Amino acid sequence: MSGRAFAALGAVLGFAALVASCGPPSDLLCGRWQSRAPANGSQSPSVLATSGVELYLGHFGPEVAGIVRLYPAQFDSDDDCGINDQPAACAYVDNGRWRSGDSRLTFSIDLAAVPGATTCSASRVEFDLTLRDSDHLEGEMRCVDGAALAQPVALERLGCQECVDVLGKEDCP
Amino acid sequence: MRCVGWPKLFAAVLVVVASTARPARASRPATDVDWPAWSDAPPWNPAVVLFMPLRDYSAPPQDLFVASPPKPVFEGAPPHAEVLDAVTNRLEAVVRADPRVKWLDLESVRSTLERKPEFGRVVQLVDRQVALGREYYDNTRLDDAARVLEAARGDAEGAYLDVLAPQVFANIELLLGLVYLEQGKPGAAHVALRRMARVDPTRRFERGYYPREAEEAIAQAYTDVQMTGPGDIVTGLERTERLLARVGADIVVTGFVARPTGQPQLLLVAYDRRSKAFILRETIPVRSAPRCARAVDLALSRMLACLSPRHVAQPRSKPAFGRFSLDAAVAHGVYFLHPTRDIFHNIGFSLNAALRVRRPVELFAKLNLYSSLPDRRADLETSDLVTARFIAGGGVAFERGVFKGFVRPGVEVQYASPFTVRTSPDCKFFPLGHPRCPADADGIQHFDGSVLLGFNVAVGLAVATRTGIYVAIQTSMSLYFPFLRASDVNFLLGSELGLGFTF
Repeated sequence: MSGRAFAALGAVLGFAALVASCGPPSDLLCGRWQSRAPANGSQSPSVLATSGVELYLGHFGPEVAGIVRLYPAQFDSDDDCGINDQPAACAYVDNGRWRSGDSRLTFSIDLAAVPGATTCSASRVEFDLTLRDSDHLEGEMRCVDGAALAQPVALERLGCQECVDVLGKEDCP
Repeated sequence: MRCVGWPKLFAAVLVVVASTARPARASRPATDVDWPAWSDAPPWNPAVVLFMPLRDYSAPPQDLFVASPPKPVFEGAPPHAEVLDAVTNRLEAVVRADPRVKWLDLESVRSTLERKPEFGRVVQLVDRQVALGREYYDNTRLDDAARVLEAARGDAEGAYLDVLAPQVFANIELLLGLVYLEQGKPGAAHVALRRMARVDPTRRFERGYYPREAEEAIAQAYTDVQMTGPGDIVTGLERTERLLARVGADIVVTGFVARPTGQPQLLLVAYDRRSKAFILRETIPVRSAPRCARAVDLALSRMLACLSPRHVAQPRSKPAFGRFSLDAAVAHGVYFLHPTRDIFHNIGFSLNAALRVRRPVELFAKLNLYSSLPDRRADLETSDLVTARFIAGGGVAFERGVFKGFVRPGVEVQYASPFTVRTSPDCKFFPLGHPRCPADADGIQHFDGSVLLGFNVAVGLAVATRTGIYVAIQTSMSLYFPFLRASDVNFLLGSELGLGFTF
C-alpha cells in the first residue's frame, strides 16, 4: 500500500471518529435564570407575593424539569451571580414543555406548601414564556384557577453557571 | 456539541498511525525504471489464429480417375502430404509458442458451432436434402433434384460444411453438377464441379462410372482449379469474416499447394478480419518438407512481428479488485427496537476485511464500534450505549469493471455496554433517590452489559480505482436472540461509507 493510501485511510478514520464523538444539542434552556423588572410591566407583584424569580432548568428535548425560587425583591443586573437573600419560596417545575416551533416554554409550580406565596385562589401558578434570544425569556405567569390575573415576567440567563453545574445540584430546601 | 471521550482518543491514535505508517518497500530514485521481463509482462489479449487445413491441388488430371478404386468416389492422398504435414506442424508449433497469438483449429471451431442446437438441425436438414436430391436425380426428376440440392448447398454454406465437412459439401456439388449436365446446363455444371474441386481437391473417381460427358466435365473442373487457382481462402472473404467472428478468432491462416507454373508451390496466406487485409501472402517453392517448414517459420515470424498494435498492445484489463480487500468506514446504526421513547442514532466506525476464495465466493469479517447519540428527549442523556460488534461469514461478490456488488450474510456477536434509560424529566434533572425521582420510579430502566448473538446480512457496492483504493457503501440488518425482547435493543439497521485498499 502506498503512503498516499495510508494517509487517505487515516483521514477517513479520523473523520469517522470525530463525527462519532458529537451529538445534537438539546439544552437551549438548561441553566440558571433570574428575573428582571419587565420593561412595560407593573413593578408590583400581582400573581406572586414576591418580586424575584429564579429558575434552575434542565432541558431535555421537548421536556423541561427544574426548580423555581421566589425572592422578596426583584433582581437587577448588579446582582449578577450573588444571591444575598434567602428565598421566600421554592417549588418544582411541573409539566415543563418546550415547543421549539415557537420557542415557547410552559410549566407550572405548586405553591400550596408556602402559604401566602401567591395571590391566586388556587395554589398553582402557570408560566408561559418565550425565548427571545439565547439569554432572554419573556412572558407572563398567571393563576390557573380561572381568574384573569397575570403578571409579566422577564428572565435573563446567568452566564456564570453552566448547565452541568445546575443538573442534579440544585434543590429546594 | 456534546462529545464523548473515547472516539477522540481513537481518532488521535488513528491519525498518528496513518501519518507514521509507510510501506515496507524502500524508496527508489525516480530514474530507476523497471522494464518488465517478457515473462513479467502484463498478460496480452492474444490474437486468436484460426488454422484452416492446407489443401493440395497439385495432383495431375490423369490421376483423377482410377481403374479399380474401392468405391466410385473416394478420397485419395495428397501428392505432397509430407510437405503439408511438416508445414502444418511448424505452423502450430510457432503459433502455440508465441504469447501474442492463440492457436485455434477446426476441431475447436466444430465444437463451438456444435454447441448451438441450430447447427445440428442444419446438418440433419442438409443430410435429408442430399438424400432427397439423389433420389430425385435417380428418378430423373431433375428440376426437383436441382431445387433441393441448391437449397442443400445454401444451408451447407451457412453451416460452413465446406470447411468442416468438405466431403459432404463436395457430394452436393457433384450431384448438382451431374444434374445440371443432364439438364443441358454445362456452364452451371462447371461452376458446381469447380466448387467441388476447390473444397475437396484429393477426391478421386472410378474410371467409367460416370458418363463420358460427366468425366470430361469433372476433369475440366479440376484442371481449371489447378490452372487458375482455388482462390486465397476457400470460404471467400465475407463468409470467412463471419466465421471468424462467430468463433472469436481474429486471423485465419491457410494455404494450398498448386502448380500454376508447372512447379508445385505452396501459397500461405493469413487474413486479419479486423483490419480486413491479408497480413501474410507467401509463395514457397515445394522442394522438401524441411525446407518448406523453415520457409514457413520465417514467413510466420515476419507476420507475428508485424501484428497490428491492437493485438499486441492490448493488455487484458487487470481486475479492479484483488483477492484481499480491507477498508475502514464511518458507520451509522439505528435500532428499530429500543427502550427509549424516540429512536436514537449510533455512530462509529467499522473495519471490513474480505478474502476472495473463489469467484464469486468470499469470506469476510467486520469489526464495528458504535456510540449512541442522544435521542430527541434525551432519555439516554445520562449514559451512552457503546456497542462492539464482530461479524464473520461467507458471501458472494460480483465484479464488473471497477464496480463490485456484494451480499454478505454472517454470524454476529455484539457486546452492549450497561446503560440507563430515564424517561422522566425529573429523573434527568434530579439525582436518583430525590423526592422527585425515587429509586423505584417508573421512568428509569437499567440495562446491564450484555453479549448478544445474532445474524447479520449486508449488501453493498464498491468502486475501485486503478491504484487499488476503493470506496464502498453498504447497508446491513442485524437480528439478535431473542428476537423480540421489548425492553432491549434489537433489529439494528446499519449503513457505512468506507475507504479501503484491495490487494
